[in-house]
Amino acid sequence: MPGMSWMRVSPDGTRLLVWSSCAKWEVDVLDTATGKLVERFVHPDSDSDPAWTTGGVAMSSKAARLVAAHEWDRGFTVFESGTEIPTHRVVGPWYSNIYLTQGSKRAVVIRGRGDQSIEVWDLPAKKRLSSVPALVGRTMTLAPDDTTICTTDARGFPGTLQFFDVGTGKRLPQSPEWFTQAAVVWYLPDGTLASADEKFEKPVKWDVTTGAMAALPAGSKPPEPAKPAATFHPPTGTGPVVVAPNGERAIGYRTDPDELDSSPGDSYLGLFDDRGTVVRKLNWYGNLFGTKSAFAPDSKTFAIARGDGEITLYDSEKGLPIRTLRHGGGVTSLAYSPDGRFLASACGDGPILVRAVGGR
Amino acid sequence: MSLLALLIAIAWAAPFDRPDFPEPRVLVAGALPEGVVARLGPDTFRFAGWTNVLHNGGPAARYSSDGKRIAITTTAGAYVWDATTGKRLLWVATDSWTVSGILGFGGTNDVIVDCRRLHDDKGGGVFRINIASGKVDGQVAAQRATSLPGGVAQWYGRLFAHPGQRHGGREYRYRDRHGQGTVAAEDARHELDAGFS
Repeated sequence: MPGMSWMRVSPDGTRLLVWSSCAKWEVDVLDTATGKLVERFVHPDSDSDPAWTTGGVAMSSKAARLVAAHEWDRGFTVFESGTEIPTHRVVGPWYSNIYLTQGSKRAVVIRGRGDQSIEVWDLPAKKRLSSVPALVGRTMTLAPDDTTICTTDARGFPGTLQFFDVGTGKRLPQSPEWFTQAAVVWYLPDGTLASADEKFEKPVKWDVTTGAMAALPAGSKPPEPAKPAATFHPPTGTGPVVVAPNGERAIGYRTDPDELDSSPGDSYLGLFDDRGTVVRKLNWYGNLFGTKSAFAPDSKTFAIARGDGEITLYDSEKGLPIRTLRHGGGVTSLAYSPDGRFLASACGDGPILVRAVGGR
Repeated sequence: MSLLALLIAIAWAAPFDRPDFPEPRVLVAGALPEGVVARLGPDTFRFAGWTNVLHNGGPAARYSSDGKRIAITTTAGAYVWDATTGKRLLWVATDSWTVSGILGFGGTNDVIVDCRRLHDDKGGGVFRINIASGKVDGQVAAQRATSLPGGVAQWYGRLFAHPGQRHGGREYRYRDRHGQGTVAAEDARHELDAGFS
């Protein structure tokens, strides 16, 4: 469970703060030179209500001031050295990502989940100075100059870092745009690599040598995938399958409706034969949903990619892994070149990677 | 029973070669992953996986103290970028058997990552990686204890570790190239012996 146990070192390295209890919000402050317990900060409500610090903590030198965001509706708390309980508490829905600025006199904190805002607080005055709406994500960090928030999951920009101005909440120019032309990838009959957004509104083709991109006619799409034969009868609970060109193998995700409360084995990527019998269960640690797969043109191998960017090549006969590859983004599409020499992977945003994987 | 254990062990080991001890898998700067012949499209500030993870209890994103670099942890590993250009400087990849996460920035040109075996507390280490070369130039490895604990380690000239709540102890130790010591000991029940190598 996130935030249930943590350690932090104060910015000057003189204090080590440790929270190692899941029952109460108690933080020990230790002197890193002597090892002595200096003091302890305690959230007064943590006996009865969880006050997890999933929203983060920040502190000044020597831990003279500590701010902790508790998420849910616990708000954030301000502790001062010499006082065990908070000197100031702000109650509000879902405070997260809290930072100290301006010599630790101010706190920058994100409020809310759906409609987020960046709030700046004057801590000695216990007063909110500003609140500006911002589409920041949940994972973020504050730049050392206190003016810029860097976030990883800003809405509309998956898979990229985005930057926001603390004072205005505006997205900053160094933020990369979402590159929409790489959600789906396929090869044209002449071996040219093509890609498009999810709706195929902006199909393009690529010069793999130079990296140049050129538009394709609107509506250009990859060829329809092969359908399984009429004799293909996979077990109940099997979803759509990807069929090998020779029709002898297929890959599909399966959940056994009779085993929903058991594990492992109740859900897996299955390698099926031409009749739908499971040849091999490909059980991975999570990340089964969203996997993409493709067969090589000769049907002898296939590739499976998962959302965290890992791509595994398998032999089709027994379903045994051959190689593991990596993509710098969550893979959304896979395609073999017509000659089987290359495997292209797309991640929806960011680069397409083309790999040499063999073939004739 | 022993046959069952053997079969389980074989199933666990196959089909990949599971490392005895995880080592960071580092891609430096714009290096292409193994076998890649072309990279097409933009690459600035891009990452794989999901970032709603608090690796080892620490923040999933952080700037270097000079603001020139940004690091994050995702389900695909630890990433470091040039904060100005968006150029990726490092990617310490997570794979089927290991997970890697950023713990912090070191001195002038290094990052500290935690790399451990997936679903297994018995293998893990904290590594210092040179950003320019991608080489591991410092390591904290569990030697006597079975693993580094689940606590957060941070780098401020020293590396801190603690036994973690599941051991019920409150002993905080550090060790670096220049020395070692116990920061505090209260009701310690777990022996940790870790050091740079």
